[in-house]
Amino acid sequence: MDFDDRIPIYYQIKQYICQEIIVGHFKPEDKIPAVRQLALTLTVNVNTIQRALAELVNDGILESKRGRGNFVTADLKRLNEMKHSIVEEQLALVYDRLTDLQITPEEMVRDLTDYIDKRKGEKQND
Amino acid sequence: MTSMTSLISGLFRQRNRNVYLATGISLLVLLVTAGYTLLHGLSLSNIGGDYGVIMTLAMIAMLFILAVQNERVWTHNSYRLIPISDTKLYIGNMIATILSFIYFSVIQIVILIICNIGSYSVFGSISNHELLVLSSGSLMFILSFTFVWVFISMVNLILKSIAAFLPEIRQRLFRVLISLGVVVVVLYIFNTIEGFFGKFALQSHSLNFNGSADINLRISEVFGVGTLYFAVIIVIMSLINIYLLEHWVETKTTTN
Amino acid sequence: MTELLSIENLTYRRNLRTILTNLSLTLNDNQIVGLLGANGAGKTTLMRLIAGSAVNYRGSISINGKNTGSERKSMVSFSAQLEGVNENLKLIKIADYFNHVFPDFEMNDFEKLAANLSIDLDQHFISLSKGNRQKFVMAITLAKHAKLYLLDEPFNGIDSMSRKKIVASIIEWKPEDATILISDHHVTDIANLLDAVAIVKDHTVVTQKSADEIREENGQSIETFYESFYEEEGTKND
Repeated sequence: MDFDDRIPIYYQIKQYICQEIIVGHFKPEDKIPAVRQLALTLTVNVNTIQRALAELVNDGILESKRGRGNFVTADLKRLNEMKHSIVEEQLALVYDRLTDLQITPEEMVRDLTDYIDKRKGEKQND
Repeated sequence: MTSMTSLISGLFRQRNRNVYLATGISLLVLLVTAGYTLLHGLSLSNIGGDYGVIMTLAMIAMLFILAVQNERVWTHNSYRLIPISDTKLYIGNMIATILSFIYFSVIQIVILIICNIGSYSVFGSISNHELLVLSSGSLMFILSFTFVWVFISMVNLILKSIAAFLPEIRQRLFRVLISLGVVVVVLYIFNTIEGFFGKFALQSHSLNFNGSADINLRISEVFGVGTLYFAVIIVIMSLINIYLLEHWVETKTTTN
Repeated sequence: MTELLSIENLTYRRNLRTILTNLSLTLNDNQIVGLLGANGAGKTTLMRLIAGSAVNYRGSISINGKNTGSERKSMVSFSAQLEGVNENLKLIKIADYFNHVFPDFEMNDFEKLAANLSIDLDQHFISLSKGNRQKFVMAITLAKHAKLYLLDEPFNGIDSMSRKKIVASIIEWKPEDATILISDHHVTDIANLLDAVAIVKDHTVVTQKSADEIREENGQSIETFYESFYEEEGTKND
């Protein structure tokens, strides 16, 4: 995995795990790989993985079971909230950027719909 | 921490590669000599004497081969980073060198005896005082070799200690000058030792070989004093060496 | 977190040259710390002093509160500890020697490391390529169980595949509470691995900072942060 060296690695790992949960690579109640294994897969320090996991446990996304490892929470409501907040985070970026360009909300919706149609078309042509 | 036993056995085992190599070479030389003798239609009866010469040369070569290995320990990480005090590293290294030499000597003597089988009996009848001379002689022999190793270490360690305080340029020139100074000191020390033993040589000439008890006593006296003298010098030089090793001598570096 | 290495007012001169002056450095346990600095800044010398290869210094160096050379040697595994081995030997013989004289060397771990790094132990040391040599050095260094690992430029002049394998070994084999000090003049190799960096410049450690702080507070990459110390120097000289 390629990291952005200007953003704390633990933060990028949190995002990576959340993404794996959202796309269903890690399902609710699944055990996620051991710390050292994750460190090896992502080529980062074990401490960094531990920090990321500890924060995800704190956020209620993971559950730490003593001696057995870390599991994705069974709390689907919490996972939905997580997904929602990540989507919102991305939308916020687009919204702020477009607002800077003085695009009105109505134009944004129209542009976004057009853009999605365009991408769909590209995909079908592939 | 590494124990003295594992240190000594580790260094001893490393040195034995050279012991076997030198033994192999001396046997090869023996074979060539024997082949040459037979080719010229001569009898092999003197092969024992031939091996005596080969063995002497091999011993001298071994003295220096072991000295080189002995010196490597002071300035290389693979030895200096062993978790053991410098005093123990020094003593262990010297003991390993001495043991390797004894081991080499024993192998050589066995070969010599085999070469002499059939010609004459070496240990046919050995008297009490011959045994005493033999054992004291061996001890003196080993001590004199130890002296050489300890002395080479001292020269090397002094050179290394001084070199650290000289600029990196002109190191070669300084080293030559210091070496010369050290050689002068060597000559002085050897002169003193020679004088000391000369005195004993004179005394032994005036020995009165009457009763064997008396001879044994005189032999013990001569060797005893000689041994003690050697031992004292070796201990003093070793103390200097350990001090230099602990405080001044560092390992070589390949980078920076 | 407890303090593992403590260096205070370390000064080191050799051959009439000052190499380190008044250097202080503290490392906690369970860390991977990058020792960054230009070539010749004194990174190797600092490691030699910590490991006990260099003995004639002023100041104090202690590991777990112990400061004699032999005590430090028993807690450190230094990548330069292979210097002086008989290069004509087979790798397995060299490992045997380490197993014999270093009490914390674990032969089983060494064999696993060597297998992971795909090193053929029947080769002779002298015949190794630079990449394989570095891999062997790393296998020997990591197979020695230590509190503090000193890895001096482990990626110097090696291909990217060997580099990846070495990085993986470091992640996999670092004991839980051990600290690794890893020197490099090319930071990008190890940036993702580091908990913190210490920067060596002008004969001393000019700063010590955690990687997260650099990224969170300064919004900088480790590389930019490191280079900023050397750029100032560059503009001053111009």
